[in-house]
Amino acid sequence: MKKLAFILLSLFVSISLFFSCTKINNIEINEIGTYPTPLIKPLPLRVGVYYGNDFATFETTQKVKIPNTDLTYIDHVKMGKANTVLFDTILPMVFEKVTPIRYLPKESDHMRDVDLIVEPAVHSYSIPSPTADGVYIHIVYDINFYLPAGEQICSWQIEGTGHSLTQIEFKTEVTAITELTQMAMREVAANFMTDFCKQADIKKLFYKKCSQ
Amino acid sequence: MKFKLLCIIFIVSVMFGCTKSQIKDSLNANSLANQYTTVTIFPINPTDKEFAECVQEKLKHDLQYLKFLQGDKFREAMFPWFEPNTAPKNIEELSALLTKPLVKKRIESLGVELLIYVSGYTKEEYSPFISIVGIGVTGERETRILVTIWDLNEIVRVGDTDISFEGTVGGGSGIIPPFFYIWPAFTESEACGETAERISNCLKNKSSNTDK
Repeated sequence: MKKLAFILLSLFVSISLFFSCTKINNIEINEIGTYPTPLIKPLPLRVGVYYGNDFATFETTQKVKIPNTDLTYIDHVKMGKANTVLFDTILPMVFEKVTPIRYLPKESDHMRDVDLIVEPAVHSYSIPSPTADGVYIHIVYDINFYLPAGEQICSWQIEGTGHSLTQIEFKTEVTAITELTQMAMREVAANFMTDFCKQADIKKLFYKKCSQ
Repeated sequence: MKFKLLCIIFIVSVMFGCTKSQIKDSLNANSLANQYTTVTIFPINPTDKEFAECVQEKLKHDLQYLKFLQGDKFREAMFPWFEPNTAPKNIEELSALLTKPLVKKRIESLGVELLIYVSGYTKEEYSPFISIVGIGVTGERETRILVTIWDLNEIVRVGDTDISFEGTVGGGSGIIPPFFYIWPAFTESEACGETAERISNCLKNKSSNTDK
């Protein structure tokens, strides 16, 4: 019914007022919300985590056309801080020991005190134009795994989606984008926690530890 | 004259405001029904929360002996296993999840014996019209609610319902004389009511089987 009321209102307003505009939003996402203590036992693995500059300072510009209007949002989304907070939060929940590392080892190096190196990267971030199903935000991360000597084991792509049924929730674009991004990040977090050991190469390498 | 006009509008509103329904129900009444004490009506996606809350409110009225644990609380307590992308989709996945000691222990501590998945949507399609007497919009509205019931004690699927209601809706304004009119279709409340009634009847019935 809210939608009907909105359409009626829009119709009346549009008769007397015709406007065409582009609105620019600067959105900085620094938090991910709070996650409960997960029902998982941390794996007995020592993990080094490396955040590349692109990941830690990630920003993107999304052009979102609102259907049936002349309104277009240009959303500048900065979410580097939220990216690092996300993995700083979930990795210690999944692994017994997590150490930040400043660089990825080359072949000649061999990082001691770690069993595995994790390097998350943003594969894509998109805000498609709203549809009848509502508003979506998609985030895809590439999680690259390396051995302590620098050899890449595999790359795992994890997706998360933030979905709101309607735009008419009396929220600003900035609030809506922030909440939907956080919702998508929570999906990524959950997926990482439940499926890490299901990755074929990881399972092969850490079979015993994953089975504990 | 005005009174007659209002009557005509009212009659037209009632005519067009009728809904039609489609009902699929494969709920198997459970022999243990009256032994359940705690139920969670769980929206798989947070966007289905309104449907879940509506079904819960109606069930609370019908089945006063049951305790209800809010879907949100269940999701938080079970993190990360009941997020939109990690929640078990079938009896095999549920069964596998319940073999995890931490998960099983948490379900036992929550006391949840019956898990009711609820998902749904409302689709609305409108088109505007302009005539010499006024302007408005008219369209179709459909609400569909899907439910799957799991018995967590026996680890069986009690069954499903798939209920949809469709109706014609619209509204607008006359210019001379000035008046507003609206004919609604309360498809959400009808679909919700029918869903709750089916679940309630199933749980009240003591004599039959469940499918394993």
